[in-house]
Amino acid sequence: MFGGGPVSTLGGVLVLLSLLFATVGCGLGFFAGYRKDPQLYRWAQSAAYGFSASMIGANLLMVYALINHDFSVRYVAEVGSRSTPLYFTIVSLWASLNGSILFWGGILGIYTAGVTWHLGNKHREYAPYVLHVQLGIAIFFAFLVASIANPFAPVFPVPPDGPGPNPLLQNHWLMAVHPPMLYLGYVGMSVPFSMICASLLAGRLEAGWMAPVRRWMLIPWSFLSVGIVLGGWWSYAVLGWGGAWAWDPVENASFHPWLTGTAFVHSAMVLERRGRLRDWTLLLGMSTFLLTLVGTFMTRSGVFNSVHSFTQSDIGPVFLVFIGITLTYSLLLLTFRAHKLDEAAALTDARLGAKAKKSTSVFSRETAILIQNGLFGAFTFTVLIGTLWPLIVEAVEGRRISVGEPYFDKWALPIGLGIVFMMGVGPMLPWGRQNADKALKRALPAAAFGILVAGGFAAAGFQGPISVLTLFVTGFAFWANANEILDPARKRMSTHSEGLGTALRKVLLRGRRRFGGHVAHYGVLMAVFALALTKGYRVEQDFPVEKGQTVQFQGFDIRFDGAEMVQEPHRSALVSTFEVSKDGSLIGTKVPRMNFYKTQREPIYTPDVHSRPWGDLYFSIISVPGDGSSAVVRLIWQPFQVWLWLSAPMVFLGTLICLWPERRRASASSAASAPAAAGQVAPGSAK
Amino acid sequence: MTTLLLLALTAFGAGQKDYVPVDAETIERAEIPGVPPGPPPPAGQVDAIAHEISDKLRCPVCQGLSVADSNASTAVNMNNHVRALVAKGYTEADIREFFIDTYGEWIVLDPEPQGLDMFIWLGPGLVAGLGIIWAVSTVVQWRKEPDDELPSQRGDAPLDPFEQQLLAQLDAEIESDRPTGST
Amino acid sequence: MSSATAPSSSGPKIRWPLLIAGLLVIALMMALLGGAFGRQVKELSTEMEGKPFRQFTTVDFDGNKVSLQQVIDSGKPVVLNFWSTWCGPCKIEHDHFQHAARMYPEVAFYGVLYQDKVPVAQRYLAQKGAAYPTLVDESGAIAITYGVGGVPETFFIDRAGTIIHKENGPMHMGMLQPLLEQLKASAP
Repeated sequence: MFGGGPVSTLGGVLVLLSLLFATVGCGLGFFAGYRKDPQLYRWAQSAAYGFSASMIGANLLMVYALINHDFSVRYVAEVGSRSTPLYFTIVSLWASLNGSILFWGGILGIYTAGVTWHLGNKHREYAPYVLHVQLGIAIFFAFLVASIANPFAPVFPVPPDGPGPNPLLQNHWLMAVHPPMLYLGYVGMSVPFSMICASLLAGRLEAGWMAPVRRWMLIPWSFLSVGIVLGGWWSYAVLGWGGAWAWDPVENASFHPWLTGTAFVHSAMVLERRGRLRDWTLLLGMSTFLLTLVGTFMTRSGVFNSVHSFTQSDIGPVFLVFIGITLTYSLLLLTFRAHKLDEAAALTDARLGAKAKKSTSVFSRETAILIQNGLFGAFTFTVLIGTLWPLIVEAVEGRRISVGEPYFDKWALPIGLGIVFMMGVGPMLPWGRQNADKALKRALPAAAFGILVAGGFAAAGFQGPISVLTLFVTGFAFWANANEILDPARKRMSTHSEGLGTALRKVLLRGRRRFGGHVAHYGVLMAVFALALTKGYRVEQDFPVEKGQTVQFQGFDIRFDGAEMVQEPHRSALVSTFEVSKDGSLIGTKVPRMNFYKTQREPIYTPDVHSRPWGDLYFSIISVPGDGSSAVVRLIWQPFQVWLWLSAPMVFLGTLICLWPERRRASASSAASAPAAAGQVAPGSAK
Repeated sequence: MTTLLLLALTAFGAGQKDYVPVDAETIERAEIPGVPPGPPPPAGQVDAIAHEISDKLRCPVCQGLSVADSNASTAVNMNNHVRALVAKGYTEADIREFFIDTYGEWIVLDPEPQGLDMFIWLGPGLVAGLGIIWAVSTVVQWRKEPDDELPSQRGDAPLDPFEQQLLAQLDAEIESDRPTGST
Repeated sequence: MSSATAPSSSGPKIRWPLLIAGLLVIALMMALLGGAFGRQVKELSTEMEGKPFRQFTTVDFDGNKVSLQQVIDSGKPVVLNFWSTWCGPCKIEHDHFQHAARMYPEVAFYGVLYQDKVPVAQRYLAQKGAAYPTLVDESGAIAITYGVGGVPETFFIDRAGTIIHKENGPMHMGMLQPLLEQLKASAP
């Protein structure tokens, strides 16, 4: 580590510092919580900031080294190249294993600083333990970076140039965005994990603590959602097979924590409002982070054959040990400390004396969330077991099998439909109780809308039974969610004599959390809508074409104008040109290409897409023999594909709305105002 | 520039497969050894049937993509081969059996529902069923035991004076737990 | 936490069955994932071993028609070697195969070109020598019929027409010799 150039040395120092801070801070945090010592806590906070600063600093230093082509640094020698454009040079920070672990650490630093700052002096029963667990996780990653995965190791003799990052990563600008989004999602799950562990360690769980836990789950969850959709877009726009999701083990790895995270966000609401489902919610929250670790392991260890797998590396076994430790730790915490939470709750009850008693009826939001959670649990199990099945069978029977799309699609469809249906039922039902006829009365208009939507699309040609059912359920859920805003707005209009605009604005501002939830639901509905129609009505055909020849496909006239070689600094490409016309008028020129990199045998295909709100016309080259005067092109028509991509910003927007800080309103109550506002749940502003 | 072009042409020519249309001769030569073909399917349906089959075959050189989806040379060749076999009159079962016999079980993306793999076929359904049972039994339990509606759990509803007093009491208790000298 | 009014609890309610089950699941997971290290990720099939050969007819680079059935019927054992010019290990083993072909004239050696262009392969063979013919497989049907997933892959077919061995990967004389002896000694 020492004895290299200045960057290597400084990098090594920063990484060691981060390990030091993490270790010291972890211990300080624990004792600060155990002894309830404010001085120790302040030191723990400083250590946390120290860890963040050194980790983030190390990341910035690496980027500096990459840009300056400092090939004396090992990672730069692995992925740097003088011929790589600047944009991709920066992006190569996460192009390869060691850099991506460093990047993991950097994002962990950001989140650690964030939660330390946000907790500040509030929630003092929990906060020290949060830092303790968070820095405990940091120890592991700092250790990895400092030892096995050290990207700063010096290289001697210093090579004049490097091979450049993996060509697949240079093919599209999305590669700059998809991994950071995913990392912000994955790494961020450590925070709610730490908070839940803190609760168990402290032996208490007040409703006032669930609110920040839920917020800190929503933040990484939104990034994870966007990251997953971006991954689908990358698959679609870059890989050339015209699909967005292949149930690849690594894709699934990102999906597991999303599933449990979504379930958590909903069951946490039941916990907050009704005090129920506590252990299940805590389990979900912890599992989300644990699944993130398992997912990172599956991606990095080379155990699975995948487009993401780096070659089998040394970090695999270490990672596995860490997973084992964290799994066992979580299990032990839950089993041995959960009863403490019961005691604390009982204590609170005893102090309160008289309580109101209300029972939950079948037709209540709690029931809907319960069913939804059951479905999410089944979904997680399905995807997880499907991903691990080939390993299990190989271990037990020595056979090699594959579990692919037919299996996953078969189960994802009914479970997914059930979840979408509940997405409509849930908002429709109030908390607590509802009687059957009222519930049905609210359901009928939603069902009618669903029939309308399904019928409308069926009339337009989308008549398969699966898509009809999906569109019905989607329409039903859409109406149910929209109604939750429009209905109270309409009521306000009559009671307060406000215009629609004002009424809507007031309702949205007051019910920010709920409205954000609805917007996020709309995002999911958009994705489901797009998936149902693209999968069900995709039309694909291979056309051998000569230069100048026109073919007809789905109402379009497509003329092949030949192919030619194009030189770029880091690759050469064979670009085929197609003119697209409809009803005689030219509507676009598409240039799918085959990219040739020095280090790859098979070319990397970049498709081109003609995108409209009602469908995509997708061009992918199969082959271009010899002189470019003929080609075989695969044309795919995917109806309503863009809605899948649009779901990402919609979900993100919904989360943003949920999380937007409220202006603190002057409470109308008398004596309770000051302590009531200090960090506890205040009326109407529950987050 | 010319040398580069020539180099590139040979390079990409070396890597990928010239598209061979599935013509009469190819169909004639396609066969599954030891298995007689049935009657050929109607002309327009060959592609659709072949696509169904290819969708469930795994591309051997890809990461779990199906032969229908992948545009790797191997996948394109396999696709053509499947199409030729279908056009010749082989059934889906024959073709699937042929590929499993030749490559191994891993060539199909949906394992046969036998033996250990039955778990994959039934497992998720079982778990979903268990999930529903859990949900139902929990609701039944909730209906039986009314829960305590603690004021801090009421979410959006405004507190009445009694509840505000309770909340203040709770907060005071929590305050007293804090070590002295802190915020 | 003041315990003045703490209700008497019946002791910590530790759910032992859940703990045991949880630990078991964790142990199994660790074993599964840990055991998966070093697992060969690429599917290399040996499914064809022990099976009878599959008939095909094609042409070699000189335009001569070759039918595998006829070769077997003539009483010769066959070595089928799938290769490409873009495959490094194929080029390394090429010399070994040529040497083996000369040492064992009673065995019929055939190369099969895999996902490559004939002119390019011909140029290569002109340089490196061709001790045995290479066959054309434009559509890849022969490779598919033999379950070839990459190169080099070599099939050893005895006089009775059974594929006694399939090798995934390059071979040297030390590996070739025992198999060729076996082929030589086989009965039709």
